[in-house]
Formats: sequence, structure tokens, C-alpha cells
Amino acid sequence: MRGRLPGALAAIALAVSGAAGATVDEGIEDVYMTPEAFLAAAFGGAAPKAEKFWVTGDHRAAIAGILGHRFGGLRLNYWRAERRTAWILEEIGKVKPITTGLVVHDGAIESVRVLVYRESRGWEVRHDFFTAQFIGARLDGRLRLDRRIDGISGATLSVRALTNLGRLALYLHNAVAGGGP
Amino acid sequence: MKRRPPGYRLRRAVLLWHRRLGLAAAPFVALLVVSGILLNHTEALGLDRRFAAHPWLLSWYGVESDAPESGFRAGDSWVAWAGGRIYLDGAPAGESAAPLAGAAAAAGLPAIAVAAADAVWLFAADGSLIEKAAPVGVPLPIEALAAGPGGALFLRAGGGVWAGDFDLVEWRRAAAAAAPGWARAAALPPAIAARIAESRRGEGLPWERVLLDLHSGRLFGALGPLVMDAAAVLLVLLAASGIYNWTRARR
Repeated sequence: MRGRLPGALAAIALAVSGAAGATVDEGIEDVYMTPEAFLAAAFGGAAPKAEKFWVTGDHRAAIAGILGHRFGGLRLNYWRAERRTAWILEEIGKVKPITTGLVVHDGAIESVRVLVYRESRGWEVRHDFFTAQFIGARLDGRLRLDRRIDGISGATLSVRALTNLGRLALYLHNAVAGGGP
Repeated sequence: MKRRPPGYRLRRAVLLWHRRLGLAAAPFVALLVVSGILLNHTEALGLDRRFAAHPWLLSWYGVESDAPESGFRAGDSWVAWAGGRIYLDGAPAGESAAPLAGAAAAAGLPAIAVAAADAVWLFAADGSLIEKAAPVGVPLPIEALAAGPGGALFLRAGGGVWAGDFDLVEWRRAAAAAAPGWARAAALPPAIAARIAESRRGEGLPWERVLLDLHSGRLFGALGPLVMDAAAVLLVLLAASGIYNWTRARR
């Protein structure tokens, strides 16, 4: 033992660090914007009739690659006017889905709005300082955003969920409107 | 008689107590270290999404089932809601924060429509999700759902009736008499209620919670945290006696 500090010190430090573990989430739901308001803002007050996107074949594999898990569902609604599309998508942050509205114009994200947030932590992703990072983002050849999205401490999973939804909206837009990498 | 150097008895006593403290602290150190490391990697290990299903552990926590007693008959299937989850024939099929407003099967279509306060779901007969959609244009909350012939679908919301279909694309105001009959909740068959109860019981206790309580001692009752406090003091004494021994040995 000569010249070495007792291992108990390291054990104490480790144990104390572990004591700061996470707590269990509780069910809450914050509605920040209705789908109607989101679509009205996206299309200047007059939203077009919804169309269907069928998640089949190669799309299913590509979407699973973007989300990191299988996409639940066979189809989804989207709204399109000329070269602009709007999507209302959901992705789980930690345990609850985050409902997000995304507008894509000419293959670039035009706006991102968190419509409903259900997690107990990480709600900061709804703020403009975060969502503004997505404006102008496009997909690269590996179906990733062409820019880095800065994270938020304590909201890692929500940031990841919104980043993946941004990639997904761009992929879907390119699938229905053409273009993309 | 052999002459002892100054401070010999104190050093010997500290060394002896250091060994005793080490032995006493060993199981607590092991417990804290293992549970602490696991808690530090909760997300990577998925411990917040995995649930303890051992009956004795659930009973220890007093976790009882919050299974529903009623649901909606949709064709040959039963749709029910409990704790934020939609169950189709007793199996988890989707998530909804709000309780269900109704569920119905379409005449001639192998699909089941389900409505909650702010969304409509479409499930295949095997329980797989076809689509979840926000009924754009329908005032929320949705209060009731009805299915008509030819894939017609009706929602009651905001004091009016809204007609659409299983495409879930467009909803338009309709006369109240247009709806063929709103879906009504009925008592769940015992077998389906039991299946949901078993599923619900197993989802009430994440492993993360068990580890947190193990780490803090709360798993062992009211005295548990005090025992862990004592163990923490023990670790401090162990460190202090170890440092003392170390510094004396260097002289």
C-alpha cells in the first residue's frame, strides 16, 4: 500500500456520482400549437387538402435508417402546395412522442415547430433558438443534415428526436417532390 | 520487555479498525459501486424502458394493476385504454395520453378506427398500426366516434358532428342524424381484461427505479437510507484511517 491512496476514496467518488441518477418520468402533455395553426402558418392561411404518403419498400428501410428503429405505420398525411410540403411527425424523445410540424421548401427546411411535448424534461427544444438551427438545412448523400445541430444540456434525447425528424421530413419531401441528394 | 516506539499503540489500533471498517464497508461499497455504475448508464442500457416483472418485487413495491374494466367492441376485436396505452385484444398497439373516445370497425374493411381527444388511429385487424392522424379542422376534444357503411367515419366534437372516412384526410361538418350510432364502452371480456392487467402490472416498475432505490437504500424500507448514510460515514472513516496509515507508513 505504500505510496498509494486507499481505494475507498475512488469508491466514494464513484458512488456519489451514481447517486445523481435520473428520476422516472411522469405523464404530462403541453400543446404549443394546433395542427390547424401550424398549417395555416405554413401555407399563408389556406392549407391544401392532405395527401397520402405510403411507407413501403425502399422507403421503409430508409426511414428506419434515419430514425434508428422501425417506422410504426403504413402511411401518413402531408400537405403540399407547389414546391412546399408540410409534415406533422412524431418521434419519441425518451419515452413519450414529440409531435412536430416541419415545412420543407425546395429540399430545404423552412420551419420547425414543436406542436405537442409530452416528456417531463427537454422541452427547451421548442424554443426558436434551437429550432432556428434547422432553417435552410438539407440532406447530404448519407441522409444526414448538411449542418451540425447544437445540443441542449439535459435535452439530449429530445434534440436527437428533432434532428431525426428534420432528416425524415427532408427525406419525405424529396420522395414526393423530387430532388435531394 | 521490548520497548515500543512512540505512537505504536495508536497506529496499531487505527490499523486494526481500518481492517474492521473495510470488512464492514465491503458489501456496501460493492452495492453502491455496482448500482452507481449501472445508473450512470441508464439510457445506454435501456433500464428506464425495461420493467421488472418479478411478482415478489412488484408486490414489495405495492404495484397493482390499473387495467381497465371496459373497452370498445370493434368488429371481432376489443379496444381498451390504460395508462397512456391503447390495447387491441389485450395487446399493446399504440400510445395515447388521453382516454379513448371510441373505437369501431369499418363495415367491409379489415381495419379498426380508434379516436381519443386529439387524434384518430387506424389499425389493421392484426393490431398493426396503419396510421395515426390529427383530425385537422375538427374542434378538439373529440368526444365520440362512429363508423358507417363504405368506410365512412364520424366524430362528435365541439358540439357538432364531423364526417370523414378511413383515409383520415378530410373532415366536414355533417348533420347529427348522419352518424349511425356512436361507439359505446362495454365491459371487457375477462380474458382480455386479465391480459391487459398482466401487461400493465409488468410496466409499472422500471429497473431504473429499482436501482435508484437500491442505491439510496429505500428499497429496504424506512431504515434503508439511514443504513446507507451510516455506510457512507463508514467509507469516510475508512478513507481517513487509510490516509493515516499511509502517511505513518511513509515516515
